[in-house]
Amino acid sequence: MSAPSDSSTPRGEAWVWFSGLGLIVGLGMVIGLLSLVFLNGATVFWAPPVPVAQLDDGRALIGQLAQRRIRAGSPADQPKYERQYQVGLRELNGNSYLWVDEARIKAETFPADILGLERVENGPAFVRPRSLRRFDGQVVAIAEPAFEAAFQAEVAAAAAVREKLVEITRHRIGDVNAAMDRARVGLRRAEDLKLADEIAARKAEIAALDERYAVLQAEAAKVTAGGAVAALVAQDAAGREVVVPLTQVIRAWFPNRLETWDRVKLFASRLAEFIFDEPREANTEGGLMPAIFGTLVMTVFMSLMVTPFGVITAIYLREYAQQGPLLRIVRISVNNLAGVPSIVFGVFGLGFFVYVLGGSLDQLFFADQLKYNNNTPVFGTGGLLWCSLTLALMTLPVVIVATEEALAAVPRGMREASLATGASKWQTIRDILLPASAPGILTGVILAMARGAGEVAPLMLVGVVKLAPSLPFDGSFPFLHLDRKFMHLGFHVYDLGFQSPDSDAARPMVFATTLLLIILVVCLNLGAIWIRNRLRARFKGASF
Amino acid sequence: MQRFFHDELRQLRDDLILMGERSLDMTRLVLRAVEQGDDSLALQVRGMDDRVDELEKRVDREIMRYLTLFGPMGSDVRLLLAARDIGHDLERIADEASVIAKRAMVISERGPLKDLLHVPAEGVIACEVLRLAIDSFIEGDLAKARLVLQRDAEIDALNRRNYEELFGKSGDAAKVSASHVELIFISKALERIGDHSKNIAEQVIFLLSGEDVRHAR
Amino acid sequence: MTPPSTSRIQVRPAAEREGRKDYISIRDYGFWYGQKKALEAISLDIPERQVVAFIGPSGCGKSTLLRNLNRMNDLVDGIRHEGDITINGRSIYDPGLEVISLRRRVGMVFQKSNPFPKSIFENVVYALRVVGVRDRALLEEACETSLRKAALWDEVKDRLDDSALGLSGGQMQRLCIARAIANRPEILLMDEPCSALDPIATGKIEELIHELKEQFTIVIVTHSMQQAARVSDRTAFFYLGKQIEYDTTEKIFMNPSQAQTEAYISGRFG
Repeated sequence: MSAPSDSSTPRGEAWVWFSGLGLIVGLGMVIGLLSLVFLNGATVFWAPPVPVAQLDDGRALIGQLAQRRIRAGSPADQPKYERQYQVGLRELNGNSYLWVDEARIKAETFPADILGLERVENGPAFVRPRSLRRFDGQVVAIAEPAFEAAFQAEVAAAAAVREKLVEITRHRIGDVNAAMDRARVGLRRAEDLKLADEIAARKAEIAALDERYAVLQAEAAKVTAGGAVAALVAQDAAGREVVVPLTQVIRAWFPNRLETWDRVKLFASRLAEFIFDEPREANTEGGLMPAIFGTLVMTVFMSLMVTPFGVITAIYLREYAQQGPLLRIVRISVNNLAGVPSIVFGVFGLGFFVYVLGGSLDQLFFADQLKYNNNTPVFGTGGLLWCSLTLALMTLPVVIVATEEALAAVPRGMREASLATGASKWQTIRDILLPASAPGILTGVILAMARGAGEVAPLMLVGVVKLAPSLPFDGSFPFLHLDRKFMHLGFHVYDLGFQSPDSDAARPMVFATTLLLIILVVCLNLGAIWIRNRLRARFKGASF
Repeated sequence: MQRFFHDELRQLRDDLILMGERSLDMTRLVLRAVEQGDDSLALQVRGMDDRVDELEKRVDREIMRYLTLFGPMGSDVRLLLAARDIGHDLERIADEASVIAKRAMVISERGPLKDLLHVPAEGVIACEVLRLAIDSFIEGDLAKARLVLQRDAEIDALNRRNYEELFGKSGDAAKVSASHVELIFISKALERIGDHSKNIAEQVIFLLSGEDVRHAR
Repeated sequence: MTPPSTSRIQVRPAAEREGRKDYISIRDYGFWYGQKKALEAISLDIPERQVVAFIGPSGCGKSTLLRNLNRMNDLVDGIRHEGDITINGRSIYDPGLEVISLRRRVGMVFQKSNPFPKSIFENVVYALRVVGVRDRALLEEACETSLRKAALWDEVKDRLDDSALGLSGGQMQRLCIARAIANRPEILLMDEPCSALDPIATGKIEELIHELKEQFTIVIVTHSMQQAARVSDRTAFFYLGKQIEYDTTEKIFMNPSQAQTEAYISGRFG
């Protein structure tokens, strides 16, 4: 009798290896995707050294290397490369980006006096500074040792001026404008209803507002004119003179002089700007704060709407409804709802929520607005409320199914114990079943949130815009503005990728935005998972 | 952990001990009746027999109930089995005492006997042995139980001497009076009481050690 | 014949305890699950403050009958009954009687202990909260009383706010008993309460039943005849939905009238 061989190779367990393989492939794809997005997205914020490239036709260009690819049409065994440089100075060069055949580059140098500028308008610039012209006429040449310090000081001062201007125009003048709008509507209404004192009051209000407006305008002009508007005099690659008023400069750095640690700090500063600032230049530059905020608010509001609807529906389906063919039909319909393409929900949202419900709401509550404000609809157009409702409807089946499963998973004994104690059905549901199935319900909500946060198509029809003037959740009453349109990260990606005038400039932002969207969804999910784990720990012993 | 039905086992023991004390009382009392020729005592003893009979039935019911309802194991089983036999033996002892009482009354009818042969001595030993047997059960004392087995021989010896002296003395059956014949019956009854005490002791040994020492020799 | 117990509570013998003889009265009771007849012509009276055991082989209907006493079978579709069950003179099928109020007067303990995923305190007082008691002091007092009666107080008094799911099996079952008696029902139904427990835990619960019978009328379904013999005052033997014999426990186990009963208890059944 021979002992069975004790080989360490698993016998007949090829399937274990296959399943491991499947897992590796899946993980690999996920990691691959994330790496691709991360690398392409994160490089946007990195500031590498900037070369001066000498071409064989005598031209020189100063630019940051953006891409390198094989030229179309080059032979397969001897591929020819071309490089894309971000040269900036769109007003002079026509385009921020330039493709250059690699073979034509004779030499590349990295002189230390190259200066990179991020500007408010017209994109970035890479120039060789010559002198700094102060507002009082004083000129500081590049050769002087005081140049650097003076330059940074002037940039900071100019930034302060710019911020003050923004505060005046955007916030204070903006408030005046909003008040003016309301007053005008009031006036038209009063005129229509022939209320004499009302008319007089409104007119007085408008006059007061006009005065205030003029005052604020003057202040703004004073700031613009009287502020320290220094300018930088520089030369571009072709030797042309470039004058850059410092109020235009958001950030300035010497790319070829930075240490690695400085580059990291610059990276962090750009990243912070990306997340916390507002967009500029048709969304191709600046930050994404409104889009992030809009996505968050919408996702949270959508979750808040879908959860009660879904849970109540599931409770009814499982606990109260009569078992029979009708119930089966309802269940099948709910499950099928999950397979409907999302754009269909968008169309439904537009037709029903926006036109029918929104129109009715406007007729009932905002008739004045319509009449006296050129028929500008309040709820009769896309907005936060309709977007959230549409997505809630779309993700409803997920929550219903998850809740039903969670309710079914509660051990029958618990239900019986509660009923045997003399609790009514509702008491049993409220005190025993719902708390016990809370982790499962949260799973459904997590899934719903993940699905909802990622959908873009329906949103385009019901309330997302390219650039929103204000946030849907701000400091003015009623704090949560359900009628406002808002920005959304997913839509932002689409808009950048396909609708922007400068697609080369937009490309890196597309990846960065995608990365941000992924991170946002992951954070939302992690938050919900953390809540679920806390609930699970509390109800340990329940079988989920 | 004490279970609620263990109380019933305690009650059984108590009833058995009560039986034992009663039987012992009867035996002592009846011996006095014999020595003093006191008929009232004899009658009292006969009355006590009924009570012992009742106790035996009660003990048997308790044993049956406990066996059926409470699934005893280990020493509890031995206790129940031993209790059944001890109960029977105690009841027979009471019966024998009752018989002695009857014989004593017959004797006293004919007039008091002067010579009681070795019967009083036999009676004393019989009472001692019975006391020992009961004590060995109450105290769970193996040594006392074994002592009972030994001392039973003394009762047997005395019984034989009674016999020999009575029939050996005269050698003539006609000279033996009817009262003496009753005395022989009493002696025999005492000897049987001793045997029953021995049985009780054997049961106690079985209860305490699990050893079956019956029918030795 | 049974002597008083030497445990904490003085438990009187069966004859002394017995109150109303037909406290729970089952008359010609039949019960169907759809087409299947589960119980047929059951007639028995359960006296107050007695322990009655239902025994019989699997599928004999003992659990069904038990669950009908507090109408738990109403949760199943397609059930039907004939005959009547009255508790303290009032029919449990009286249309004027709400099932919920019936269940509040009748506590139930199940085979597999099923504490709620809440704290021990919340588990015990659930029955009180269900009827609307909010006063914290009342709840705490009731909780202590119930836990003491269930012989669990000393073991959990310092951790009433811990999750009930952290208790051992025997403790969980005693907790379920405490929960069932918290609102002081008159009747306690127990459906094989010890079948998932080890002998020591089983012993503790049997001791508990022995004490509880001083106050409660208890009906216990058990597949262990020995357990029925130990704890009950009366026993009913069922087979295939029919009531074969119902009498005092001593009679059933020492000298039953029916041959089927004799066969079952001596293990010669089946």
